[in-house]
This record gives sequence, C-alpha cells and structure tokens, in this order.
Amino acid sequence: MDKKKHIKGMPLDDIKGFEEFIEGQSDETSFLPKPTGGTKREVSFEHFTFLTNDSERLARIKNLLTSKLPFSSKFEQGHKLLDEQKNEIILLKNKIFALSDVDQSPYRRSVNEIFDSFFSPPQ
Amino acid sequence: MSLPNYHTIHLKSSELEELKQFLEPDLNLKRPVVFNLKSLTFDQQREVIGLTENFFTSNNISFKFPYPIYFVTDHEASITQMSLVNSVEHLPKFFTQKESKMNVKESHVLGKNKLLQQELKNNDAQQSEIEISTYGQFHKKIHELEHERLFLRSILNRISQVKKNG
Repeated sequence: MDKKKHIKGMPLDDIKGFEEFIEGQSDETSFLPKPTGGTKREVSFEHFTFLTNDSERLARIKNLLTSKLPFSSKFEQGHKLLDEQKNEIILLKNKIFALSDVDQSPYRRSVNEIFDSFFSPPQ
Repeated sequence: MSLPNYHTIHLKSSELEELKQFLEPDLNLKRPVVFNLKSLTFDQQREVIGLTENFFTSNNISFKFPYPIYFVTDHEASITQMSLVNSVEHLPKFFTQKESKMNVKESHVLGKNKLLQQELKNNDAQQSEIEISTYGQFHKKIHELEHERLFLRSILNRISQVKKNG
C-alpha cells in the first residue's frame, strides 16, 4: 500500500511507460491520467472494439461456411464414431442384462426391496 | 459508411406493396434489420413474417448472415425459421451502439468488414442452411449417444462393484 502511495505521488514522467503495468498491479486506477475529452474517446474506443468484434464474427461465419462445413461432410469419421457409440451401447446393455439376470443379483435384490417396500401387507 | 447498428422498420400495414419498398436483396448486407410489427394485428403480423420469409427463400438469400433479420412480434418463435422477439429489449445488445462520426482507424476496419459481408452474401444460402442444419443434428446425435453410453457405463460399474463386494 505504501508503495502504491509512493508511486501515486511520483511525477508522471518517472512512471512513463509503466502505466499499464502499474494499473494491472493495482486495484486502484484513478491515479493514471484520464484522457482529455473522455466521453468522445470512450465512444470511439467502443466503436473500434465493436467493429473489431463484428469483423471477427463475420470471419467466423465465413470460416464455418467455407472451411468447416464442406470439410466435415467430406470425411466419414463422424459416421464411424456414431457406429462405434451404437455398438458399445448394445454391448453395455447386454452386459447389464447378463449381470442382472441371475438369482440374488444386486439388480434383482434392489427391485425386490423396492417392490416389497411398496406392496408388502401391513404388519 | 456507418456502423452496423439495427436498422428498424416500423410497418403500418401488411400490404405487399408497402413491404416491397423494404424488401431488396441487399437488405441485410451492411446492418441487422428489425421489423417492428407491434402496430399490426396478430394476423397481419403473421402475414408479414410469411411474406418476408418467402422473399428470402425464393431469392436464395440468407436472413441470418451477413446480418440477421429480426421481427418484434407477438407470435411464438415456432411459426418460422426467422428470429422473433417479443419486445425491442430482447434484441441482442451486440448491435446497439451510439451513432457518431467515425475516425480513420474505424473506417479501415469497416472497409475490411465490407469484403467479408460481400463474401458471405455470395454464399449459396439454401445450401448453407441445409449444411448447418445437418452439421448441428449430427453433433446433437453424437452428444445424445455419448450421454446414453456414459449412463449405461455407470450402471454397469455400479452393478460390477456391488457384485465384487458381495
């Protein structure tokens, strides 16, 4: 805190070139000189950022339409992945049924417990 | 040259003649467009949306890019492929900017954007729409199957674990 106060008190020429660094290290930004005619410059900065973001938006759409979509339709990896997923799902289902289709299997026990808790006659 | 802010059109009737004044191929080339239909009746709003969608589809022009077309209307989004909002406040804030004179740096970026806008405009809109839709559905399918696969895997792991523990 003392260091910040010391920097704050320093003449602006002495911290020239380090303004952004000091600002990044500090939670207070008020000691840096404010741009003169603030509102107009702020609006201008907003416009520039907006236009740059819009440029990026347009470039991304272009990339999607000209590179990504045609590229994705030419290769079969996606279909292969779908087939692999489907096969594994069938395999998993079979394994689950095999494990469950045994007397006193955990699955059967759980189902019996649930059934009993709902349908047992009151004692 | 101006910023790509919302260009708002307030329609006073659903007459094709009035709508024709606004519907032209470069309508959404340089800025997003908002058709405010709140002054029309519910049925008139539906008619305008239908006519506009038909204009874009029959001329093979995209209503999504370079810039989107929005309708401020009382209708539900499910009636059309176009973007509908209930009030102006629900429009994306991205395109809401204060108007002022641009400097050289900004004009340079705008000039660069102009090229991108034209390139997007020259795309085959219907083909792009089909490809985007297929691409999206494909990824959705992969996501759903992966979700199911992980669910079954977790059940199998639990059953196996219980069996091991007796």
